Amino acid sequence: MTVMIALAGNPNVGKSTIFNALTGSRQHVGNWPGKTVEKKEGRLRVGSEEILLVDLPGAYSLTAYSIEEIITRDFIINERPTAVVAVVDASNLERNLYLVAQVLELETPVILALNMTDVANSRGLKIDANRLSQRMGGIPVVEMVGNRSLGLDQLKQAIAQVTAHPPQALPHASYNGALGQEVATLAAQISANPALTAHYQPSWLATKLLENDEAILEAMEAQGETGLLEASAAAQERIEAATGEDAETLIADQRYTFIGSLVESVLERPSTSILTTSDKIDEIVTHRIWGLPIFLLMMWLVFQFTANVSAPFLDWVDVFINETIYGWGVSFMAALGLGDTWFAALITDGIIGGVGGVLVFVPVLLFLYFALAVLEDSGYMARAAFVMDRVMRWMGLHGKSFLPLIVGFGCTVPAVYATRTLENEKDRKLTGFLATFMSCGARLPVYVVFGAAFFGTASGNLIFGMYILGIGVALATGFALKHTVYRGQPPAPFVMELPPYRAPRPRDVWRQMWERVQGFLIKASTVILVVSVALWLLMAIPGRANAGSFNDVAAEDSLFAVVSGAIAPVFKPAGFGSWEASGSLVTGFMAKEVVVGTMNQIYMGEETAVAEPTEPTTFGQEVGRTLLGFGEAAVLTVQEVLNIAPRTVNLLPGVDIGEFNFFGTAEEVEDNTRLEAALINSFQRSAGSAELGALAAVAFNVFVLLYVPCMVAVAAMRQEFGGRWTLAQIGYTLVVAWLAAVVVFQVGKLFI
Amino acid sequence: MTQSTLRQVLTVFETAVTPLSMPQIARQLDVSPEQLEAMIQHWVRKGKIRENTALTDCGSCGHGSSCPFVLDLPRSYELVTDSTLIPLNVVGLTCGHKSAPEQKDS
Repeated sequence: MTVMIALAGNPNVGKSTIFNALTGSRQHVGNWPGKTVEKKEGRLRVGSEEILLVDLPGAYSLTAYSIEEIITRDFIINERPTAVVAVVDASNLERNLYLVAQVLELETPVILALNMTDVANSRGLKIDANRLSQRMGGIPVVEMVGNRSLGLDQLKQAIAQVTAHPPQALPHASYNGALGQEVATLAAQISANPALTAHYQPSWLATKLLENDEAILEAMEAQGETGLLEASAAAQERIEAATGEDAETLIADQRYTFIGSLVESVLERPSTSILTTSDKIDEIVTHRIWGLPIFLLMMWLVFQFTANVSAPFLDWVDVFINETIYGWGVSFMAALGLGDTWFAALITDGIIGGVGGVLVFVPVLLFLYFALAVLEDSGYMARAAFVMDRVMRWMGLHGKSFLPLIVGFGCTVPAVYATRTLENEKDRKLTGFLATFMSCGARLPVYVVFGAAFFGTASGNLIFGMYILGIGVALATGFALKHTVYRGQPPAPFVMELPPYRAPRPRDVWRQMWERVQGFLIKASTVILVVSVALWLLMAIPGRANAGSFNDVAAEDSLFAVVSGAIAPVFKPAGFGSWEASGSLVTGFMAKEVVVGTMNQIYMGEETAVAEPTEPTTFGQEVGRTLLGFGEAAVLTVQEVLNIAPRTVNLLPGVDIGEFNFFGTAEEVEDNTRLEAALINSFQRSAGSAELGALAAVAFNVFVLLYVPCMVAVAAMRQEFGGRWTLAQIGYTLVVAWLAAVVVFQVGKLFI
Repeated sequence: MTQSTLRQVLTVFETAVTPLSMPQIARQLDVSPEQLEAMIQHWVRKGKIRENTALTDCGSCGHGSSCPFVLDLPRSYELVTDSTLIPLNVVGLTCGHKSAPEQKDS
């Protein structure tokens, strides 16, 4: 005779692993009748018995909330297996024992397979299996590590024991107080009905009726058990009158109470756990008053780190691309006999100048994403979301709105899509509106190059300021819109899991860093490349009569300059009314990184035209210089890490580390890269003086921060929120950006 | 009458005015964090509380699998207040995503 054993448990507790280990290749996979849920059966031999093992679907309970739960309990009721092996995750007993408690209510023999005991042990959890067995009415408890096949023999022995000597007295759950009395009364009524007792265990059925289990109620109605249904309804009313609680909640609560006291008596938790230390840290980090300043300080440190520590490698990559690679490009074209042709200019000035000008900022992004990955992996970013939720609520905004906005710090596009987690349409549109003000990673190269040019070692403050300004404008806009256009219900708070802090894992940090930079590199080889080629073309075409010929025209006379120059006067009140600045902003609609790429093409092209001939070098000399530069950059990077706050360490004598000045001053022009020097000259010219040049640079950065996002983000908004909304958003960002830039420049002028 | 612990969990959600953490609630109700999680899952299954899932895919930058820009935040829960939840079917511009229904301007 074949003995049938069912395998039950929550999802992801290793049930299938145990099933496979027990049955090996003697399995059959199909579907449960009339369902799309997979059914697995297998065979194993235990002693002289042939066992049919049925793997039930993962289920959290035996209430009819899901098809898996219905299948599991119907199988146990209808097929009456000899025993049920309940597999539980030993590291999460409370959650897993809820199902076991319900299986016991069916008064079916149960064997408890305590799986993943290795995970429990690694967390310092100790389970007294013997006491657990006693507290659960003497059912066998087998400790296992299923994925290492540990405990399988003991499980087979337990199966053999239950098969050979079925338990006479089966443990079953009992309820207390008014609930217990009503369950007993209903069970007695059911016991007097053979048609019901042939199929159901009386106290189990009574419990299900009081729980208003839909499937059971339907079954009773179909069987014409009107009297029983009326008795159940009356019992529920009496329970609610006596306890103030509905029967269903009371039943679940008593189960959880039983499980809680059971686990407390059998489980030993580590005496000093990381959680306790985490709680102490959280008391400070999520403090009602100090939480926000701490978050702002962390962000400031991130941008200080990003700007300063990446600077040596940024300089090295700049020289490598704009001098070494550029020079090789020129030489290669000359060697092919294409030296003075438009094609050579396209390759060197267009592609190397445009795309290369953006790739220079890979070190910046690497270090930014490294810092953010460390904060994320350590668990701090969850606390940041928590802290910002309070700020959002104070503004009347939904706290969960901040989560998409955090995403916007990397890229606006997923931030727009992330608004789908908000249930309310108004909240979605409002949050989408604000997402564009969260400074995305693509704008960072602009801040970095201007910060380095005009503020030297304090460029981190410019970057920090831009991010904070973006958050501020987002909150202010949200506050205004929430009380006007998007007025709605006050938001409901949310509850967040705060996992323990942990040391960031190098592999995960590296993976996050690399995946984020990868997106940037992919964009560089696609959108930025196309824009660079198009820009080169527009700069190669004369825009004025008699201004030259194709590929032989001064930058300021090119078609690009003429068109950009037409809108340049708009920006004069903001201090950057030059065609170079306005043209860069227009190309920035394609991708924000292109702002810097465009500037590189414009200014480097101008500089190449007037460059003095340099001393020829050999390929070997270039390679040697490059490698030496790399080594110097590596040492200087370490130095910058040590100099995050006090600038005292100088690892390379002869290399000036620069004085630390919180508000920063422009460095000497000859200490800047060629692009930075060109920007300084250009902005000083357009603003009217050397002092006002820095102010105009800040105004320009403010405009870049706030104006319309890239075309991909605009397309995402169009798709999510509609065309009219998107046009309104574009108009709003342009107006806000212009006003902010003008205010910065005009008000700033009063103090200079 | 004293509320059951399970009901108290739901009441915490219904009466909260500021964001709460699960360790905070567990201490308040004098239950273990694991038991609290089990109870919250009970209300999630009953449809009273919603577990929030984060966006993982966008596809617009050519990154085929999960979006690297989405922060890996822990689970959060909130009270279900209405039935107008928009299903989280991610929509992208390029690889692997379905289109959203056309949104009307308001």
